[in-house]
Amino acid sequence: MTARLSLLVLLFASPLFGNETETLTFERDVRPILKAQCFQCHGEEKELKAGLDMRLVKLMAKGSENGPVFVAGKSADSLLFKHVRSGEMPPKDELQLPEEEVAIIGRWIDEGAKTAAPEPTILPEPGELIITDAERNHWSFRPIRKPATGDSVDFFLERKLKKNGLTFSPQADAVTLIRRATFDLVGLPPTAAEVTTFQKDFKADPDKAFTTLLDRLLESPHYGERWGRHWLDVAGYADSEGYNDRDVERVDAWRFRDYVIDSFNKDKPWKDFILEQIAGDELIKATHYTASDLANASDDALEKMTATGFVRLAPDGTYAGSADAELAQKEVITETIKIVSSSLLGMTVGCAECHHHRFDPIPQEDFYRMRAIFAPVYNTEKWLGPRSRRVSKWEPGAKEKADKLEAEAKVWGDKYLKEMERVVLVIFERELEKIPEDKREFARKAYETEEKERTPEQALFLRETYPAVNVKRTVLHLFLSKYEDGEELSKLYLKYNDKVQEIRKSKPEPDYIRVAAEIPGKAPVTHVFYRGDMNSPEEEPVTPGGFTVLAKEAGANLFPENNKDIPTTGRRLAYAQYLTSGNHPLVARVLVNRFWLHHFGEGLVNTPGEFGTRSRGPSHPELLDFLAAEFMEKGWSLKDFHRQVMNSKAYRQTSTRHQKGEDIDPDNRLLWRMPVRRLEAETLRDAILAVNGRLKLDLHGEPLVVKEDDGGLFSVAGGIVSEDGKELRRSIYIQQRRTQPVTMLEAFDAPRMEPNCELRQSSTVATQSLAMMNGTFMLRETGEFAKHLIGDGKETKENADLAKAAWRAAFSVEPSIEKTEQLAAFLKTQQEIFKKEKNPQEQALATLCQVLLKTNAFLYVD
Amino acid sequence: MNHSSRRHFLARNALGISSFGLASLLQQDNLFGAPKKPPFEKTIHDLLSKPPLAAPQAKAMISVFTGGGPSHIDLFDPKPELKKWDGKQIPPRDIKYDNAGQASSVVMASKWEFEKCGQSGMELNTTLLPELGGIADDVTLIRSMHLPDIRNHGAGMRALTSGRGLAGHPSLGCWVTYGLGAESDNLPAFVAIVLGKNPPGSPYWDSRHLPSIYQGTIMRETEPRIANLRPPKHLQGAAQKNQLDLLASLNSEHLKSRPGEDDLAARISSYELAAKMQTEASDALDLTKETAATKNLYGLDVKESKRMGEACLLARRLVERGVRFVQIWNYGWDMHQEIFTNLPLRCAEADKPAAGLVKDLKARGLLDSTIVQWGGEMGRLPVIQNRGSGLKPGRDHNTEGFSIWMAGGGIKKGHVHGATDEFGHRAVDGIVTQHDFHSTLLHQFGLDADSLHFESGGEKVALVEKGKGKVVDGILA
Repeated sequence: MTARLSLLVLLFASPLFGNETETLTFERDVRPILKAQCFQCHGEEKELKAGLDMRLVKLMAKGSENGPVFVAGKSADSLLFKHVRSGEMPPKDELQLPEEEVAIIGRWIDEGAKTAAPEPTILPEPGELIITDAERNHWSFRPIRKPATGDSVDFFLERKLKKNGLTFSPQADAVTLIRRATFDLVGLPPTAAEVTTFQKDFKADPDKAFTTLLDRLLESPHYGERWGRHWLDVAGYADSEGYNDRDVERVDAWRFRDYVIDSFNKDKPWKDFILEQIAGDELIKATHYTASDLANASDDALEKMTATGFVRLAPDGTYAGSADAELAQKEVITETIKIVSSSLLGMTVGCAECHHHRFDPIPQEDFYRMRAIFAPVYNTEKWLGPRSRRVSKWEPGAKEKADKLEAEAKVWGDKYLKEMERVVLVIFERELEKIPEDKREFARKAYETEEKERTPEQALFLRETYPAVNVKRTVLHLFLSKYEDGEELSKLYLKYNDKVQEIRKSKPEPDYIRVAAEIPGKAPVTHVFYRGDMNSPEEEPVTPGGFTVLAKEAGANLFPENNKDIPTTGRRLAYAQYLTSGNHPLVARVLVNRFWLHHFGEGLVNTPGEFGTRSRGPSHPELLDFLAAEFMEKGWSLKDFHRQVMNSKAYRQTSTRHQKGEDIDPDNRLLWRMPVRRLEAETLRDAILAVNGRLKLDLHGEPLVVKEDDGGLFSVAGGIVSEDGKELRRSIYIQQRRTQPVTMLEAFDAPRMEPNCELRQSSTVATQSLAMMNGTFMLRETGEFAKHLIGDGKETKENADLAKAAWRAAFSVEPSIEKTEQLAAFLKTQQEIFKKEKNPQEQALATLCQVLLKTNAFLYVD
Repeated sequence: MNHSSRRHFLARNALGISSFGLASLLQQDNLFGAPKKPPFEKTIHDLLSKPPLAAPQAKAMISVFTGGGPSHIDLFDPKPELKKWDGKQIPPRDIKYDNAGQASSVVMASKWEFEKCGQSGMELNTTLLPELGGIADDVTLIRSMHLPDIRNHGAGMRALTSGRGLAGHPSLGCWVTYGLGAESDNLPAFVAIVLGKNPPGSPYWDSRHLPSIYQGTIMRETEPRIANLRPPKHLQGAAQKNQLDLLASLNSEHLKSRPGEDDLAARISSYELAAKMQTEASDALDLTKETAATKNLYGLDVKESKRMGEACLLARRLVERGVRFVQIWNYGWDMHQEIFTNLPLRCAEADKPAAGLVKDLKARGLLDSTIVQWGGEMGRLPVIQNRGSGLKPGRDHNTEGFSIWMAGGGIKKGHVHGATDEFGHRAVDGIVTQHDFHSTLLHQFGLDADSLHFESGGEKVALVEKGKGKVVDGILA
C-alpha cells in the first residue's frame, strides 16, 4: 500500500468520518499526518529546522524561531494551519497535504488542540523517535494470546460468516478434493488410479478417506519439494550472486535448497528450522576455521552448517575484482536484513536504513541493531568473498587420499622448479654473451643479487639498461621462443609439470557448501549511518537488539548480546533463540499467515511481508492468534498445521460462487467458498511433465542448467533433453540465475529474487497463451505425450480410445461419452490435415493433448 | 473498427451480458470509481476503447526511455558557468551525490559547444544531436525535471514509470491503457520494446495492482521479437484454428459451471488475443514493407543507428495500428567513467531514429495525436566522478535536475520549459516532478490524475498520489 493510501485508510477509521461530534486528538488524528510529512525535519533529526519540534503538542507549543505555531481554538491565527493550507509547508511541492488532512489539522486546533492522554514530562531529545502507546498496541506487536473460546479453524470462520449472514459452502466432491489436496501438498496432479481409489474410500467414509489422503501426501518425498519452494521464495534462494549484470553463478547454493526440501520432509520443527538457518554454526560452536572439520565429523553438524546458507542468500557482489567493494559489502548486509525481516518478522525494516521509518514505529537505530547481529559474520573489517565462505565436505577417506596425492605432486613440483631454474641459468648465460663485455661482470653481480637487496644502480641496470639479461622463471617462455632449441629446453622442465597436473587430476575434490561462520575475535563495532551513508557513521556505537517497539521499556534489550559458551560472538544464536522463544509477537503470526496463504490463495493478513501499520490487519484476528499459538504449543510442526487446516470444513468446501455470497462478501474475505486458484509456474511445468509420463522424480542435486535457445529465450539446457532425461526433473531443480529466468516460468509469474519474493503475482497475459500455443516446451512435451499414449505402435488404436486415454491422463478422470465423441471427431479432422505427414494420428493426437493442457480445467484448481 | 470484432476482446462474463450492454455500462461509468455491479458480476476489465473524460489531445504515446541518465549538461542544458569553473572547486553548495566515495567537488565543463536551433533558438549540443537540432521547432525541452528523494536508476525508472521509487506499482503505460483501452483488437495495447538486456530492476511494464490485461507485452530487438509469436509450420492455418475452437468449447463449458470466475474468462480472451496477435502483429512487425526513404529517415541504413531506428519505426507501425502506448527501453546511458568517449557513441545510435520518428509521424499526420517523449531517469552531476585506476572521468547521477524532451500530442512546439541552477545541478525554475509529468500526460490523454484510480483489495490505487501532481500548463500548446 502506498503511503498516502494508508493515511486515507486511517482517516476513514477516524471519527471524522464516523462520529462528527467526537473531539479530535493529537495522537489518533493529527500525529500520523505530521509523522509522515513533517517529523523528518521537525523532530526526527538532530537538527530542528526553524527550531521547531512537532513530535509532541508540548514541543509544538514552544513554537519555532518565528514564534508560536498554533493558537489553541483559533486555526485562522495558527501558523501551522496557515502554512499547510497555503502549501508553504511542507516546502516541497510534492509533499503538499491533501485537503482532508489540512481540514483535520484545522479542526483539531479549533477544538483546542487536545491530546488523548497527558504527554510525557521528560521531553525527548531532538532526533529521537517517539513511540506512542497506540503504536505499541498495534495488533501485530501485542503478545500472541490464544482466544478463550474456540478450538478449530471452522469455529472462528463460521462465527464471522454467521454474523454476516453467510455459511460455508457444501463439501466439494471427491475428485475436486483429491486434486486440490494433491496440488496443495505435493504440487503434482493425482493419477487416475489415485482418484479412483479415493473416490471409493470417500464414498464409504469421507472424513477417514480425506485424513488418509493427507497422511499419504504428507509422507510423500515430493511434499518437501512443493513446500520447500514456498520457503525458497521468501528466503530469496538463487543460483547466482546477482548485484550487477555479471550475475556470477553460485554453483554451490543448491545444497541449501536440498536442506530445505529435507527439512520439510522431516517436518523439522520450525523452531529448529529457524535456529539452524540463522545460527546453525553457533549451535555447533563452529568458527570460520573449524566449520569444515566439524561438518566432516558428523552429519548433524553438516546439516546445521548447510542451514546457514540462509544467511548467504542475499545478492553478493563482493567477489574478487568487483568495483565499489565497500558499497557491495554494505548491500549484502542490508539485503540480508531485508530477507530476515520480511520472511520472519513481516516488517520492512529496510525503510529505516536512512531515517526513522515514516509510518511504523521503527527508529533508524533498529535497522542498525539488526545490522549488529549480522556484523560479526559479515565483518567489513575482515571481509570474506562468497567463495571463501564455504565448507569443504569430503567423502570418507577422500581427504587423506587428496593429501597423499598432493604430497606426491609436490615432489614432482619441486623437480619442475629446480629444472626450470637450471634452464633459466642456461638462457641467462646466453643473454649475457650479447651485451658488451665490460658490462658483463656488473650484470652478473646484479643478476645474482636477491631482487630486494639490489642497489638502485643494479636495479636500474636490469630494469632499463639491459632488461634482456634479467631472465626469470615467469618470463622464461618468452626467451625460449627466441631460440631454436627453445622447445627442447622447455621440455626439460615441462615434463615434470605434466606429472603434477596428472596427479592433481586424480585428486578427489570435496563438495563445497555455502555457509556462514564467524572469524573469532573482536566483534566489529556497528554505528548508525547518518542518512544511510556509510561514510557518515554516527559517533555512538549500536549493540544488537530487537525492535524497540517490542521492548517493555525504552532501551531494554530483548535478548542477551553475547553467548559466553561459544567461540564466536553468539549474536545470531541469541537472536534466533529470541525469535523462537515463543514470546515473539511477530514470528509465529507471520509464519502461519504464510502457510494459510498457500492453502487459500490469500493470507488472513493479505500483506504477508507487511504486518506494520500499513497492513490492513488480519481478516480474522482471533483465528490468526489461535493458529499461531497452537503452532508453537504443538511443537512448531507444519505437517500438523496442514492437518488442522485441511481437515476443516473451510478447506473442504466447494469453490462455486452464489449470489448471496457475492452480494455480501464479493472478495471472499470471509471464506464462504474455496477460491479458485491458478497453478504456479513451476507447478504448471511439473504437471505437464507428470501427465505426459516424462517427469523424472529424483530428489536433490545440482541445478539444471538454463541456457538461451536460438530464439533468445531461456530454457532448461536450451531446450535439449539428454538421454538420461535429467532436464525433465521438477522445476525446483532448475537453476535460478537472477538475470536468466526460464522464459516460460517467468511468463507465469515465477519470481525474480531481488532479493526475495514475499508474494507471487498471478497474471493472465497473451504471452502466456502464446507460450502454450507455440512454445517449444509445449510442442515438445505434447508430442511426447502423444507418443506415450500411442505406445510402440504395434497395434492400431482407435481415435476414441486415444481421446479417452489423453483425457484420463490430463484430468485423472474418465471423459463422458459425448466428450469422447467430440474429441475423437477433433482427432479425425486433424488427422485429415496431417494426412501427408509421417504419422498423422500421432500428430493429431499431439494437437489434442496440447489443447487439453491449455484448458482452464488443467490450469486452475477448484 | 466494428463492434463484432471488438466483442471477442471482452472478458465475457458468465451470465452472458452482451458486450454492447457491458461496454455502454463501462462507458457510462468511465471506469472511474466502482461501477454499479449487475448481479453476480465483479467489475470486468477489458481493453475496449473508452472515451476519455475530456477531449483528448493525444491518443497514443511513444516513450524512448534512455535509461541510465543521459547527461543533460552535455546535451540539453548549456551552462557557461561550468566553463568558468572548469577544473576548479565548485563553490560551496549541497551536492547530492549518489556515490560519495568517488565524488569530487571539481567542476568538469562539457567539452561540446551548444548551438541555437530552429526559429525558437533552442540551445542544443548539435555536435552530438544534429538531427534533434533539426526538429527543435517541434519539440518542448523540459530542463527542470526533478525526482524528489531518489538517487538511483531502479528507483528513478520506477518513479518515472509508476510514480514511486518503491517497487510494486503499475506503470504509466498500464494506467493509460486502463483508462482508455486500446484502439486495436489484435495487438497488445501496451508494448515495451527492449533493446539489449532488460533494464536493471525490470520489469517496468508490470501491471501490478491493475488487472494483468493492462500489462505491457515485451518485444525484443531481433526476431523473434515477441516470444512464441509464430506457430510452428505444421500448426499454421486450420490445425491451430481447430485447436483454438476446441479449446474455446472446453473452456466455456468449464466456465459455465463456475459463473463469475473472472480469471477463467480473462484466460479465454487471452487465447483469443494471442491468436489474433499472430497475424496482426506479424504484419506490424514486418519492416520490409517500408520504403527505403522511410528506413533511411530512421537511420536504418547506418550501422550505429539501425537498432534504435528499427525500434522507433516499429513503434510508429504499432501506434498506426492502434497500440496505445509504446515504450522503447534503451538502457546504456549510465556514464560514471569515460563520459566524453561514451556519450557520442550513444547519441550516434539514438539521435537520428528519434528525430526521424517525429518527422515521420508529422508527415503522416499522426504527430498531433501522438506524444513522443525522449529521456532517462536522471541527468548527471557537473563535477568529476573519479573511478580511479587510470579511467577517464565520468559524472555521477543527478536526479535533482535534468532534461527530457517531448513532441506532439498537444505539447508546445519549439519551447524550453524550466531551468536548473547555474551549475546545472538542481532544477530551480518550473520544477517538474514525476507526478507533474504524469499528471500532464494523463491530462493530454483527456484523463484526470485525481480521478483515475483502481480499487484493489479495498484500497484505492492511483498513478499520481492525491495532491502530489500538477498539470504543467506551461508546456501545453
